[in-house]
Amino acid sequence: MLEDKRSSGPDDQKLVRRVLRGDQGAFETIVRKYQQPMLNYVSRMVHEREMALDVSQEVFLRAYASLSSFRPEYKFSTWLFRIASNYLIDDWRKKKVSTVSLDQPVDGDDDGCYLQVADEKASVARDLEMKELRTRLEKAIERLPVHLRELFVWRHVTGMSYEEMADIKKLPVGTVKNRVFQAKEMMRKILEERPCSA
Amino acid sequence: MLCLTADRLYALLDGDLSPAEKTSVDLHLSVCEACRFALAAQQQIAEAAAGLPPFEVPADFAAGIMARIPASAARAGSRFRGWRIAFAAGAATVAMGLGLTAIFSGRGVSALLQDAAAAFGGYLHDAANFFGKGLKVLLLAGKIAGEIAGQILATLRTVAGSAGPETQAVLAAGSAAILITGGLFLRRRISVSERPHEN
Repeated sequence: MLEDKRSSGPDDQKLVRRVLRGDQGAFETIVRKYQQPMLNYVSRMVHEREMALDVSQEVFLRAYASLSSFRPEYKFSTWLFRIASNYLIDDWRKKKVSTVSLDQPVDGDDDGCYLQVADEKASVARDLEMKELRTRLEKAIERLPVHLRELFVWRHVTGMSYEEMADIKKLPVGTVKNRVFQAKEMMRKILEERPCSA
Repeated sequence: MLCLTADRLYALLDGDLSPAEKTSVDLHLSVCEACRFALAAQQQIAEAAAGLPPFEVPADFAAGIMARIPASAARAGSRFRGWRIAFAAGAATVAMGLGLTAIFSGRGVSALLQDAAAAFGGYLHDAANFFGKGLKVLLLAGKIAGEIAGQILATLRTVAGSAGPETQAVLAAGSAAILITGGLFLRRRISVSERPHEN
């Protein structure tokens, strides 16, 4: 889980209280604590290093500006990643990138999607070395639709729990799980394409 | 048993199957190569994703963010904290002074407080007298200034009445220049005081 991986040092609630009392150093501690997972996530959503740095900076600045609205009964990490997710969605909307509304049902949310049994010859489990697989995986992540990409990255790269993701997206856990399944299925299909056609 | 649906496969990977379901799935996997491949593929994807290299965060990333936080935002907090500390220190000093005076004089704290209130009332009375006298002086000064301004205006009116059109134009231009310069000076002072603090 996101919090467990970086539980050393003062907890988030104490840090937030210190920031609200005017201690800027406490906010720097928060930034240092979350900069790695935030950039791991944002960089996989925008693909350009400089843009990832700019977006992440804006996210932390927005968090600072609205820190007084943070309610301590919620997890700080969830609140922070919700700001990041909303920022990216707003940005994509401005740039007219196709996104799926969070309230809009996604195909397969309710139906059990059936496993497309992997073709033996095409199976990723057979030939690919892990290093090559990682390289292809990075490219495949770019090809996922943004609403599935985000969940895939949170789950498999950042290591979030389904519950954390559901909190961030304000969606039922079952819906989040189903979308992660869809992302994984799509990912498998992309990876099974011949490398030269990718 | 039929081949695994995607949701059962992912439930297996997430450890969400009941013991009975898991036994049934394991049994199927032992005889179905296609489902074993599918399971292995997903395990490999998850393993590869978890091992993706982390983004290289620049050493000055956090410092860059802190530099962009407006200094006024931080100062507002520290100023508020400074006032609270000053107030607390003042209150503590008064309390300590009262306590020590009570100890050394042998009088009760309530008697000391009554004396302090009486003294404070005396100070208030003196201060009111002082401000009243100050106000009278200010009113008198205003009256004198008004009379001087009236004299100046009357003189100007006389000069303007007896002067030709050229002198009148020069007087009007001079007055306008004085007014504009004064206005610009005041505006500059206001804009300087409103400029945000820089780091």
